[in-house]
Amino acid sequence: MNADNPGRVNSIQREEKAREYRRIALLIRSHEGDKDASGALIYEAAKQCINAVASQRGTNSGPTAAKVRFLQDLAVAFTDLPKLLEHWQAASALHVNSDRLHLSESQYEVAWTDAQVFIDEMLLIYTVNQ
Amino acid sequence: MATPEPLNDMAPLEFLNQADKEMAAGNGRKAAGLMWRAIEATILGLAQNKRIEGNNLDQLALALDARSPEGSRSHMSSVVTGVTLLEHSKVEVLEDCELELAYQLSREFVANSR
Repeated sequence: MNADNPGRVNSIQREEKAREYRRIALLIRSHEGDKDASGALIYEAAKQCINAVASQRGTNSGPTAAKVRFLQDLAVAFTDLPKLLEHWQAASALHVNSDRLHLSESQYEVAWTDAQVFIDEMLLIYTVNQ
Repeated sequence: MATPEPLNDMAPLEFLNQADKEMAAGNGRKAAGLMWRAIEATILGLAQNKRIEGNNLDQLALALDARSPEGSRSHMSSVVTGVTLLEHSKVEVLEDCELELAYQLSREFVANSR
């Protein structure tokens, strides 16, 4: 890590957190079948992905409103990822579901898959920016 | 030639127009509930047009996705967003920015689904 570049250090830490949250979410889901906790962790992983890319670009994505604005700008810039916002929306639905349990089994599966794609897309953006 | 059934086309857009009015008036939760109705009507209309049968909205949306190009999941993804909007209409679960994004994406889905 480069201590002279706090933005880069921060982005690396965020990216590592995102991967770790996702790893734990997958473990919890496969071993314990706990969809509430795993969904909440996937949402946290998704947020850390946004933080990582934002830090990489020298910005602080901050609270949810700022994250959404940052994502909307990213979606405009990355036209080859046309469903980026839709996939983020899935992560957001999992977040709500961890509290409200409003998704059916089928809906949860689709939201889970879309949220995984969101994380993959953001990590791709992160890698491309390196 | 038989006249096309107007309800399938009109109902989603009527819900959409009502939702837009509520959103513009600052009634986000009411708008969210109406947007859910628009999504529901859109899925039902599309399934009916394609002669897809199913017992519930999830089954219809999944069947529509299966018939979409490149295995797109946009129908079921829209249902996921829709039920989250429905939940928001009952209890405030979304921040304003989250509501606006969910609303915008749902709006595009309903307006572009024909």
